[in-house]
Amino acid sequence: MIAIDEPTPKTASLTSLALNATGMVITVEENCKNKKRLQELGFFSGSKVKFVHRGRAGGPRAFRIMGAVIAIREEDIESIIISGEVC
Amino acid sequence: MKPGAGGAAEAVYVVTLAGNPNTGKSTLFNALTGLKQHTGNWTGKTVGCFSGEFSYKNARFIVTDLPGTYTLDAASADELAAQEEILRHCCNATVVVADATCIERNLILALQLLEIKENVILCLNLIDEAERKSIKIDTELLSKLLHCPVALTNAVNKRGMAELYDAIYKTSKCEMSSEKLIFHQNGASHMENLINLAREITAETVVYEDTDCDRRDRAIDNAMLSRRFGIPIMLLALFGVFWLTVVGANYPSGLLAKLFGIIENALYNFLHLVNSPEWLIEMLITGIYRTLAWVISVMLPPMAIFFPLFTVLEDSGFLPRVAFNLDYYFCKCGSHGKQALTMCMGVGCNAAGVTACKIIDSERERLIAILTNSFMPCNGRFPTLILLAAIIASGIGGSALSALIVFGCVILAVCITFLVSKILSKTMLKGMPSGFILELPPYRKPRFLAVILRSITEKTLVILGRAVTVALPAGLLIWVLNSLTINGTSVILYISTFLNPFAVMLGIDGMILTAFIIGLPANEIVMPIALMCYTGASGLVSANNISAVSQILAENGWNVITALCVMIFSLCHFPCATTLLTIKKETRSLKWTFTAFLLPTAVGILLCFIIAQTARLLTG
Repeated sequence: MIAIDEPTPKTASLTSLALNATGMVITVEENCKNKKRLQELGFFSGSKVKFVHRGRAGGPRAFRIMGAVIAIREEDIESIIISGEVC
Repeated sequence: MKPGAGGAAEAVYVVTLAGNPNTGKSTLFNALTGLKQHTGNWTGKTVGCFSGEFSYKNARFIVTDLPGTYTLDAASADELAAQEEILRHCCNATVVVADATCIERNLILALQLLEIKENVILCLNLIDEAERKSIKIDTELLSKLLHCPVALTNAVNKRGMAELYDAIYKTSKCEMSSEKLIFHQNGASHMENLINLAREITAETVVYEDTDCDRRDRAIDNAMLSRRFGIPIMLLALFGVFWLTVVGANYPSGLLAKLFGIIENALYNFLHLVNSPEWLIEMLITGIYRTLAWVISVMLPPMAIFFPLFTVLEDSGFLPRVAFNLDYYFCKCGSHGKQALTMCMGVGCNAAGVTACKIIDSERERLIAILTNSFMPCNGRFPTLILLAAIIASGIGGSALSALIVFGCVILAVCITFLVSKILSKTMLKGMPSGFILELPPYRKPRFLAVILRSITEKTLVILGRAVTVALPAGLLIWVLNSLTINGTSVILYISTFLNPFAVMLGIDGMILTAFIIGLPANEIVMPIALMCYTGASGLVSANNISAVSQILAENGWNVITALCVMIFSLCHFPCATTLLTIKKETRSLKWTFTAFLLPTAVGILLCFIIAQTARLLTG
């Protein structure tokens, strides 16, 4: 994999999104085992994602994307890259 | 059958229902065909392909309901089945069932199908829900942009079905068709093209007038998924279900028992009237009839109450939330959060639970879920648990206590499932958890009357039928074993005396162990068999008279510890024959089937041994 050293300000992992905040998906990291599954659920460049529910610490979190609410485990959330808050 | 091959009288066409998970394909299938395919509000409920038929105008249509799939790049076994069906088999019409409240994502699959087929019909289902959420859809424009016919339906109340029938008919007759979608090379990946097009089309055709349209669902989920209340609410709901089942089953059970008593007398008199030989009367009445009456009057009421309650939870969207709340613990045990769903299915029937394991992508985690499924007490074992709980509780408290004991059994079963899953993922099925991605569907109001009717016809009667077909020969077998004597001792006594020393170590006795072994074909008949063995030649006591039953058990040396050990052994022993066959089918491996047989049995033996020996030490 080629690392791109372009300065990308304001991008962060989806884990950093605050509860009830909305972000814009940029990409899902290559090394994510479930990349394909996440993509087909709408985690794709340009999709708006809202963090809607937080379960217990270390457990899955729920996000609203493309009109549906999807629960995802932490390690997969980490590999979703978003650009800061949208609204 | 050759699709489209016109018979002498009418033409036969093949129709496929494809779509994202939980868009109501099965409900639509039922609406189209009038069949009663199992439906529910959770992703992965349909794991196999089901076919049905309907006639419209002068043609016959064969419809296949496929498991839900997000795209044509399948990840799990159930999706693979859908994909194979779509790609391999040719059909005359492909109906893409899409959730009208979530069009953008549903369009991805529709676009993929438009690329490979020219007979696509887009069916926007759940249109009532979309209207409630103020989602405005320009259907005409959507149809124009996609170059494919679009039908609006609400399968639950059969709204829009006429248009759908018509679209299917016209497409099958080639009077109507969709246009093949071709992407031009533009450097972007295929998935990118699909998503961008879906986005563009949605932006043009769909207006969300209320951007916060799911606030009610989010408000409920704020409680259901919260770290403080999530699990307590789940436990409370579970306890409520058991309490209603235990309390509600009492009365009809007694009533049924009385009814069977009256029939028995009539039958007895009739057999005497026609001068039947004494042994025949004995065999028919104390052997077959009483076992049958026992199974029905003990089994039917709890099932008739439990299944509708469970179906209400299933339809409302409760199960995915259970999976969400439990995922943390499954993750810690190295297994998959969707195992919570297969566990819940196992409560109805372990064979169904094992089949449901298809929704788990990772082979390793799927095997863990299959091997541990039989720890969940299925409906065949519930009546045993309820009866024994009632016996334990009868001296102390009422039905609330027996509900609490049954509830405790289920919690114990869940804990054992976690523990064994953890041990498996550290030993035989080593590996890291693969991840958990699950859609949390909107809450839907269950249609209570439909739910009750459906769960009685769909589940209760089916399972009861199975129990009855097993109970008949089993009743006969026990009667023969009981009546056949060698040197004045019945065969069954020989068997149970042989097993007794081992059984006593486990806190139970030879008779009940024999009953568990004979009960392999169906767990429902374990208690009837045990009671028949105890009462010997005098035959089975009248059903569901708890004090009579507990008296017989006490006469045969039972105490609270015995009842407890039997309950534990009932939770943890070899799965029934049907479940074993299903495991064989699902794993295609004798080794895993054998493991599924040994594993729970070993756990049961270990637990019962510890309890029995501790009790013996304490009481001296």
